[in-house]
Order: sequence, then C-alpha cells, then structure tokens
Amino acid sequence: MNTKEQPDVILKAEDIHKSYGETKILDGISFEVERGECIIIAGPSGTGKSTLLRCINHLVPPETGRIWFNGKEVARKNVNEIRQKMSMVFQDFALFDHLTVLSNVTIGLIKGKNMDKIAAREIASEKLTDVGLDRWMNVYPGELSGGQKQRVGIARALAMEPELILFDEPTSALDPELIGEVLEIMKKLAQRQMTMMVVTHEMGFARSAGDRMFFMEGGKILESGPITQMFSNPREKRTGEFLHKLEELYGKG
Amino acid sequence: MGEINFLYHTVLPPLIKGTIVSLELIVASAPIGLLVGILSAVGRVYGRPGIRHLCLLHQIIFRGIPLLVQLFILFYVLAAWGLRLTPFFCAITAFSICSGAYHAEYIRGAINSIAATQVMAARSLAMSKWQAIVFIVLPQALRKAIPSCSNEITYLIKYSSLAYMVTVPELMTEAKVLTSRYFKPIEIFIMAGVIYWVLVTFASRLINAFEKKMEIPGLKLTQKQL
Repeated sequence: MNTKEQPDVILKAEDIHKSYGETKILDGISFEVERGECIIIAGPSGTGKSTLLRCINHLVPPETGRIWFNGKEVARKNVNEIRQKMSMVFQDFALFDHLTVLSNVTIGLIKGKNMDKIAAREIASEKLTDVGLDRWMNVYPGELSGGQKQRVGIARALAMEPELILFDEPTSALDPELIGEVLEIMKKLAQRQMTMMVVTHEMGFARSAGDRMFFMEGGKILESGPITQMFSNPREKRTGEFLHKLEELYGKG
Repeated sequence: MGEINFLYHTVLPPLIKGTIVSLELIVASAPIGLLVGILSAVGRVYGRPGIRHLCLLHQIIFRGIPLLVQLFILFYVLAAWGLRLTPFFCAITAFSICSGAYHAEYIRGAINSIAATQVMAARSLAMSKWQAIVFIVLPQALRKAIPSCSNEITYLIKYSSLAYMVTVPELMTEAKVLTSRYFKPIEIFIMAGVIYWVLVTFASRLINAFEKKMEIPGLKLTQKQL
C-alpha cells in the first residue's frame, strides 16, 4: 500500500531456517515487509507459521538466516530494544491471569520500557478505551469473555506503541460469535496503516484488511502476492485449493 | 483431681516453654526453607547448566539423606572438624535446607504448569528473562504450589521434634526430661502429641486462609470445577 517511490522496508528476513530436533520447521524463508502493510500468513497447520512469527522477534531464535528491523539486524544482544517496537498477540491470549486488565497492559511499559507508573497508566487506559474495555480495567482476565481477553491482548500490544504487530492466530481460540469484535479492531488498525503480520484462517478479514499474503507450506513460502491476486489468480495450484477450502469453511466474510 | 493438677501445674509449664522454642525453630526455618525452595526450583528450571546441576544436587542430597543424619553431620561431624555451631543454629540450617529441597520439587512442578506463552508474552513486551520469572511466572506458580507447600510446612512442624537429638530445648526435649523425672510417659507424651496436633491444625488453617486471600478473581484455583 506504500505509494512512495522508495519502498520503506520495515522488516526484512533472509533465508531463515529453524528445526526442532530432527524436524525442520522453517526451511529457508525470505521476505520483505513495507511500513504500513498488512501481511496475511496462511497455510496448513504444522508449516511453521507461528514459528516464523516467533523467529521474527527472537522469542525462538532462528538457527541460520538474518532479520533486519528498521534497518537494524535483530540479534541476541538487542532483542529487548527491538521488542520495544514490535509486539505480539497470542492465540491463547497469554494474558497474565494474576494481574488486573490494567496491569496486564502497563507491565510491559513499566518493566520492559522503564516507564513511570503514571505515564504507563495513561497510555494503558487510552489503549483500553480504543478496544472498548475502559470500564473493565480493574477486573482480572479470568472474569472476561474470550473476545474481551483478546482485546486486552491487543491493547497490551498497542500500548508498547509498536511499529509492527505480530498476530499469531488471534481468533482461532474464540467462539464464532466473539471473533467479530476482535477482527473489527484489527481492521481498524490496518486502516490506520499499522504494519501487521497476521497468521489467520479468517479469509474475510484477509480480503478486507490484508495487502499481501504469504502462503506457507512445508516450512517455505510457497507463494506470495497481493491478496486479490492470491484468491483470483494464484500461481500455484496448491494455493488456490487451500484458500478455496478455507473460504468454504470460514466464509468469504 | 490431683493427677490433673499435677499435669497442669508441673508438666504443662515446661512443655509450653519447649513449645515456644519449637515455634522459634519453625518460624525461622519455614520462610528460609521456602526461600531455599524457590531459589532451588528456579535455578533448576531456568538456570545455566552449572546452576541447574547444583540445584539438582541440593534436591538429590537433602531429599535422599535422613534429616536426622543431616543434623548429626552438622552438629557432630562439623564439630569434630573444629566448626562448632550452636544446636539451635544447626537445627534451623538443617531444617531450612532439607525443607527447601522438598519445596523445590513442589514449586518446580508448579512452574512447569505455567503455559510457555506466559514467558513468551512477557519477553515480547521487552521484559528480561528474570523480570518474566519474578513478575509473571513466580506469582502464578507460587499460588499453585500453596497446597503442596503447606504439606511440607506441616511436616516441618513435626520434624522440628528431631531437634531434640541435638539438644535444642524444644517441646520433645522437655517431654523427654519430664518423663525421666516423673515416670509418666503416657500422659506426658500424649500432651506433647496434642500440642503438635494443635500447632499443625492451626498452621493448616492459617495457610488455607492465606490461599483464599491469594485467590485470583475469576480463576478458581481451589474450587473444584465440576
């Protein structure tokens, strides 16, 4: 979606490999993401989509291959600096159950970014208002619905004021009627030109909010391209089959 | 009536005096033991290989050797080598380290039950590994470990009686002295037993109340979810 002459590359990955024991998970992944893009990552389960996201912010360090974020190579010694600008939303929400909703959002700011409590609180309440949970700040995650939990997860990611957000199947643990409220918020973020990488099977969301898609299989990006082209005219037969299967299952949105 | 009078006026006061010493032992060793357990568990789960092996060794040795032997080693063997420790200090040291070895396993189990994404989420928010452990993992794991650790604390109350073997003037020591003086072992040991029972019951109640207080709203840790 970038209209500038010079593409503004926020993230670049080069030949990422990762195995768990004997099992090869990522088998040479390379790509570039421009600032403001919403990348959809789709593919069958077990193809390394989640691992790819985790490699990008070094939660799972890749074995070989290099990643640059804002022109800086991501390495062991600067991960905390990188993570201050790159946040993540988890499939199982990964909220901190022992902390209130507000503390869930402020803790990253206070501990990870060394921000003082008052400033952190201000940002947190702003982000919680953004996701419609300003009235739920003092309850605990265990008292929320799944959709509300994931909205807290998104608020927590947003509070870091990131330049890139990684979404790891953010709606696949939700009941069908709760998916919408989460996708709405994600669509809004995409409209505001937030750079996002989203692992999802929600093809309706992909069509309406996504700019490009990476179709992964067997630890590789089998095909990538603009969303509309991926649906209407995929280069690989496998891509078309898979995406149409997803649309049958999840609807076209 | 004379019998009850005798027990009340002659036997009970020394037993109470001993109980106070027992309580001193327990109140000192329980928190130190818990701290040792937390450190040993965290070291074993998250430490570098050297630390991990050290913590494993702590658990293997102090769960593997009878506490009485540990006490004797501290008291007699170290004394023979010229390191003379007071009985009270020996008892607290042995109790804390041994208790910590058991706590460590309970706490390690609780740590392992915390979802891996909890640490990932903390790390993704630019928290360091140690911040993630201290602020995210331990507050949740320790809550889960309360019921098992309470078990260990009730054991500690009872095995504090072993301190009598290294001449600490605690409840069991007083009971022993009284029986050799008055030849009424049944009455005196029953009284000592009742006092231990009261201490254990009181401690269990206290820990249950604490567990309730630490309960997180919306997460029913202690209630059966049926």
